[in-house]
Amino acid sequence: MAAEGDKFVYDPERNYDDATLAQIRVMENEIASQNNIVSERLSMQNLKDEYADADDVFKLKIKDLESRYHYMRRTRGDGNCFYRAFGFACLEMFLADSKNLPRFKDVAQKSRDELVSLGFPQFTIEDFHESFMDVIEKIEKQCSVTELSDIFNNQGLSDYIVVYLRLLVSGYLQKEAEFFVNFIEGERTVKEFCNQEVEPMGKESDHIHIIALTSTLGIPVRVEYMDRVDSSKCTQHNFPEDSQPSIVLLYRPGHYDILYSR
Amino acid sequence: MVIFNITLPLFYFEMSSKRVSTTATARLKQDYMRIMKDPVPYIRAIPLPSNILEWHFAVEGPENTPYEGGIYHGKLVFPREFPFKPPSIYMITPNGRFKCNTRLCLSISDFHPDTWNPAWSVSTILTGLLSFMLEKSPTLGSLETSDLTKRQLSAQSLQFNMGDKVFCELFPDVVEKYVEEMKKREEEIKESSANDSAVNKRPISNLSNSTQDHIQGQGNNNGIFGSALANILVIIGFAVFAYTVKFVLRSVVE
Repeated sequence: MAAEGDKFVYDPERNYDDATLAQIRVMENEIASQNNIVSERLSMQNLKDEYADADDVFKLKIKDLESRYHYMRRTRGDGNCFYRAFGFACLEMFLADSKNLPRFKDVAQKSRDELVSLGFPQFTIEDFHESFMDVIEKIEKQCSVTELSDIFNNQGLSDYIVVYLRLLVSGYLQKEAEFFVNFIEGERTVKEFCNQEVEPMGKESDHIHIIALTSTLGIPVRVEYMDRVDSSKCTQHNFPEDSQPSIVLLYRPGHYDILYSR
Repeated sequence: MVIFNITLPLFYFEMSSKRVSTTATARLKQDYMRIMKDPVPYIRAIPLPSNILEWHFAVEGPENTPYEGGIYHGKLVFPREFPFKPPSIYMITPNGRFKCNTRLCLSISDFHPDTWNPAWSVSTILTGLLSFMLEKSPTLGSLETSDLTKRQLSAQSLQFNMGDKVFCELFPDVVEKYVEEMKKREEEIKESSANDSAVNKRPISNLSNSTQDHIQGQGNNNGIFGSALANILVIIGFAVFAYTVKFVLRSVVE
């Protein structure tokens, strides 16, 4: 590591991969030590405190959020936050209202064979699928929110869920490749896009990921956009557009958290 | 495909129907059982009995490649976060394609955590490694050598592996096969030298007697020695005769 004040000089002969990886590890550990993977329910005051010194654009938007939402849950900023936030909110919703749970379970159950038929290695798919179904069964048995929170805060279990949700997104995009190829940037096939932007852990999610996950699971989601756009209110977007979602996520550029309606 | 027939520590088979923990260990045990049941073509892989995060593998050089006949030893080192993060890959046996004991930069290795898919298994990694080995595209940790060099290294590979303790412990059947092969080769050499003389004798019966005598005379040490002895006897006979004549003539003159 260069001492402070030293100017970094790029040496084209040197390989920086090791140093880069080490740096990434340090950053990951720092993030992990500061935040739970999925936090407790927090009052909106918590968000307010974060923006205490921010300009009016954010303050007005927080005020707008406060008027409509009671609580929030923060998720760790590790690139998997959308999957974590969506997964947690979705399962927590079924704990409160299990009306649609059998249909959801059925979709989840059938997804395994679809993924295998797309060419994913069978036994690893089975592995991830099995642990995903285990969690759904716990929800079926009406486990507590604390238990669900414990699952999501166990790094291994939590990451298994994220992997399966990523696979579901990849599977849906590939199945509907003809449609989605029009929305992919760069000269990439849908499969390449999935290999590079969906399947690897820590790859952030964009609209296309959200559309795929909500479509394949049949669980709509609302996203509140809190960005620098000059407006006194957050922009809302429902996926799919004509739905009435019960899950709400808060989006701030690069990050998703969970919101709870009043 | 060769299937392992070694007795393994029992813990590899302790698998509850419901996974209790989803750690690297649990997943790698599953991977191991899978790879035993369903081996990867040309490759055998086995974790160290003392550390399931370190696997050793032996790649058998496929036919019609410069690696044919070679056995290449290497290792995979898995991070605690496996399968969420990829392993590092090392080659140990000199092979002409990859540097030895250097982390290889492949899309399936830890140089590219950003392209690693947690759904990939040890089988996927090893299949990927083999196909990359058979290609020529360069990457960090790769070498550029001629096919001739690769063939030479392939011929030396078994000998090299025999000097590696871990290899001998983990792949005793490969070692055994090698030892047997060496024995067979030695026997073949012996047999072929024995065959050489037989080859010389076999067509003789078809030839005429004189030729046979001629060949036997040339090929048989006894024959040469025998004829020399006969010649000496004749010469001695002559000498004795000459002396006798000389003696008789002298006595006649006196």
